[in-house]
Amino acid sequence: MLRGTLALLIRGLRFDCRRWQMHALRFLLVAIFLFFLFVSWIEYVVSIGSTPGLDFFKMLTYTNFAFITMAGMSFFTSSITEEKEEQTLGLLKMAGVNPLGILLGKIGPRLVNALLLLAIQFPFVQLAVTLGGVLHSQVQAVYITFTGYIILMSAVGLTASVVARRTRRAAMLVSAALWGPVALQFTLWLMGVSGGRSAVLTEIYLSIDWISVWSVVGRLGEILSLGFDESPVGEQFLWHIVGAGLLYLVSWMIFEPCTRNPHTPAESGAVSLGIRRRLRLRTLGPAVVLILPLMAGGFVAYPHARVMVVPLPVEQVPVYESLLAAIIVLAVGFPLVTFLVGAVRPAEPSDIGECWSDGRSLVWKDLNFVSGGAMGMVVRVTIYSFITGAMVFLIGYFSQAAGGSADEWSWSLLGGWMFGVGLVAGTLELASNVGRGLRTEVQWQTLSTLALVPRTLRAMLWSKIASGMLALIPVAVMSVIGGVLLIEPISEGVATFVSRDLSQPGGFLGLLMVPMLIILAILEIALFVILTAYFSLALRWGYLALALICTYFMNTIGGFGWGVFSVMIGLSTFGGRSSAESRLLASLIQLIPLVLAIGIGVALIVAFYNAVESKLKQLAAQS
Amino acid sequence: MNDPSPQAQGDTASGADDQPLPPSSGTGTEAAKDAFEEAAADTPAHLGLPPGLEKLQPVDDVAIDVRGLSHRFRNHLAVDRVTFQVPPRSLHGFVGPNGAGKTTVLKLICTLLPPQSGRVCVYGKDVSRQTKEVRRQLGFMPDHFSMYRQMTVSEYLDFFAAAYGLSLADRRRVIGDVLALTDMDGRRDSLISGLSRGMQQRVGLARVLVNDPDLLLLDEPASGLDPRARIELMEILRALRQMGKTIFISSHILSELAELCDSVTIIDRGRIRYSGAMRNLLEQGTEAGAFRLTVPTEQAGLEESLLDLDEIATVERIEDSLEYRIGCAPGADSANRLLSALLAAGIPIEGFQKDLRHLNEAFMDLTEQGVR
Repeated sequence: MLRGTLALLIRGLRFDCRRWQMHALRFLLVAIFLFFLFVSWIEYVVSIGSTPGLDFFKMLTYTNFAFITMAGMSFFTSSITEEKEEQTLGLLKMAGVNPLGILLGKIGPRLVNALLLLAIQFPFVQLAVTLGGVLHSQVQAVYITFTGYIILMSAVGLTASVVARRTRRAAMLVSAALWGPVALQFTLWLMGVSGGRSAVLTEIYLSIDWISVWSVVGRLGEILSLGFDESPVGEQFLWHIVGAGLLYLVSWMIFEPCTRNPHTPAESGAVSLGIRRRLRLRTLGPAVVLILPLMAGGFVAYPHARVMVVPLPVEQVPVYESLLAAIIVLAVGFPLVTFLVGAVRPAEPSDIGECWSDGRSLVWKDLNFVSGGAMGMVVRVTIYSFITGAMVFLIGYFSQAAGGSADEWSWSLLGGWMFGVGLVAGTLELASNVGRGLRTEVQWQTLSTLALVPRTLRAMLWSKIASGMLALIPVAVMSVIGGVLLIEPISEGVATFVSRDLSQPGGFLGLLMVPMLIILAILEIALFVILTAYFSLALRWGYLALALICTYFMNTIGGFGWGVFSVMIGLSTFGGRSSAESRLLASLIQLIPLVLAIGIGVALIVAFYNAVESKLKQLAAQS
Repeated sequence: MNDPSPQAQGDTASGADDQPLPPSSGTGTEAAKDAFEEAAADTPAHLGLPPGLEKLQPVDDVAIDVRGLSHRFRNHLAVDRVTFQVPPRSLHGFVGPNGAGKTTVLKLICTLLPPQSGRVCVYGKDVSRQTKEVRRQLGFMPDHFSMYRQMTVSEYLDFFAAAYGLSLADRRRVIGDVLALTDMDGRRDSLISGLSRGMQQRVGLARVLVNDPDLLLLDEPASGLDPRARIELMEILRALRQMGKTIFISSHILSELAELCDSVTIIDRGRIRYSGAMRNLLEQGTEAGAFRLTVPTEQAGLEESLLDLDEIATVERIEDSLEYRIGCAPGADSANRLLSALLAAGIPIEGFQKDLRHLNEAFMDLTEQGVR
């Protein structure tokens, strides 16, 4: 067993050593730490922070936390699924490597690499201690916490990788394992808001703490507080090691049953084919037409139905409950209605003619075979309906719990949440769809045949973006409704601004900042999508997570740069004077970083767009 | 199906697109042709024609015209001043050892790689300048399964037909035709992932045919197929040639290529070792008046009986077989005359043919041992 494990371990380490991506990741981490060091120095120079060492160390710590959590969702999850996807697991078994050897040999190099990422931080940590505000015992405690967390994440990733057939599914399982306990805790907390939580529920709530991701956050908070004087090995570490040990054991036990029958794409394809035959995109139109009156009926009928159960005047029934009823009709009714329409509709004699014509054929392909087609749309409508329903419930419930009356219902608050959640979810979904569309072409080696279709690769890239955007219809509807609900407060804000600020010197420049900020936000979304597209062509897994990290840090650096530039120029130039001319100049100077940021954003998008195009050409010629 | 003759193609305007410009001046078909004619005049002196290719035909008269083509991947010269031509409506074999540069040449012809030096023309159109037009005229089947496996066969073909801009009526007609031709009509609603390797290869061939290309570039189409699937594939290729298609096929299965192909190009270490008619290649190294006789059973004293005939100068028995290589006497190298003499002498005959080398032998003679 040992020989097989060692062979796999050495192979994995050699492979990682040769991959530029691993070195780039370490370089990225060091670059981020250098930036944090720079921020701490700025804080020290302008005397904002009193403990630069501690501030620096906090930034290091929370960056590590984010990195390890991301790694858990991407880096560790591919350990076994990559062998399943390449159908090489059977070969490993035939080579006489036993399941434990395979598990340890596959997860070992990843664990070593993750721990190496912690090791490269050693010089920076020493610097934090030298800067002051951090003790060696705190440093030890933090790194012990992280070691436990990494080992736990590797075990969670490995278990998911054994269970799942594809890396994507494993990543989803890990995400569920990470955020499931948090959601459960939140629900328990909600149940306790009105003071009705039982002792058992409290115990459950506290127990979840130890398997929740917040246990790490809580432990880090304790360690980084001033006057920390406890043992560096905390309960969290022990729980994580025990948890990891159990999960490794479970992975070993379920390895054989989970990998006995190699998965063939034909199996899952046959199931989806049956659904696809019935659910075409054109089925959705009649389904939407049917569900809208049902929703309206639910909204109107609910108060009357409720009165029959709880004797209460109809007008006193909270609005949010009726709204929730309509949303539940949508979430549950839409799939049912769509399947019903699909079942009633006469079956197509053939698939020929289903594809859209000319250039739109590429959009059709990705919409149906990457974004899930009609079935994907139905699933998205259901998910976003449930999310909206949860928001309606929480806003309504809390406004009532805070002592508000039944008619104190804030449409604009709901609108804000719907718009915000829709924007974030839509961005993530768009990037994921585009990235997956490109990754699939590389994985299935179809780029060479696609490149010979008389369309340019640029057109192909735009088709992927277009199909990704079409798949956003459910979330876009949610955002648009949220935006409509926000019209009133926005128009009030604009009116106030115009009446108050526009008359002052430089006021019009302030007005100019709003569209510029909107442009900047759109550019940031575009940059995230194009980064995901690029990384999906360069990396086999974790491209979305890496694009997210890069965008986040670009955003942080940009925001910090903007803040420092404005404050320092403002202070040094005007010295706090407040004449009209000074305010005008200050407004002008505040616009400069925004203009710069827009320029840099556009340049980056163009550069990555061209990089994606040339990478596509290169991969098409190689495949 | 279209008439694949160069006359039927007509000239098309030069199309700017995403490929880099080739290293020559001038635009459009006429300029490309002029440059080619100049290159043709220069070729024998500067580049040298490969064995088998006595003179270059005008660029309009051939399906594929490759002249002085080189391609380098970093420090590795994959293709070195390659020159050859493929006649229209022919089945042309392209053989060479692993790493010889076959796939690189195929990718250069099918526009996936831009030529670094030299020129490639498909039906008179320069692949660097008229990429879109060339792509419409050719179909490329790579050496791997390049397929969307969660699609059904008809969805897959429908997608490519739509991407090539075919109208709905044309799509229905063409897909029906290509499915019938590849004998996949009964599996049109099957998922590609559920098909056998041979069937997937047929679907790949059907995909190549949906835009009715004049030229088919097939990279190792028979690799990994069982004997039955291979034979069936070869039958389909024969049928396609009869339909007027030009087929450029890269393969390692030399016995089948020898039977199938009209002409062949042998490449080794990036250089062309032979390009020309298959028969000429197989005749190379054999005497003009040499024939091969096969007898049904072991015959005692047969060699002596043969040598007694005036028409026969030499007899050599091929080891472990019932075959004899016969060298004719001077002035008696007619097959008819020799066969008449054999029949008159009462020699039992099971087979009689001109003595040709096997393609394997030619291949081994022309290529070097080992890999680069």
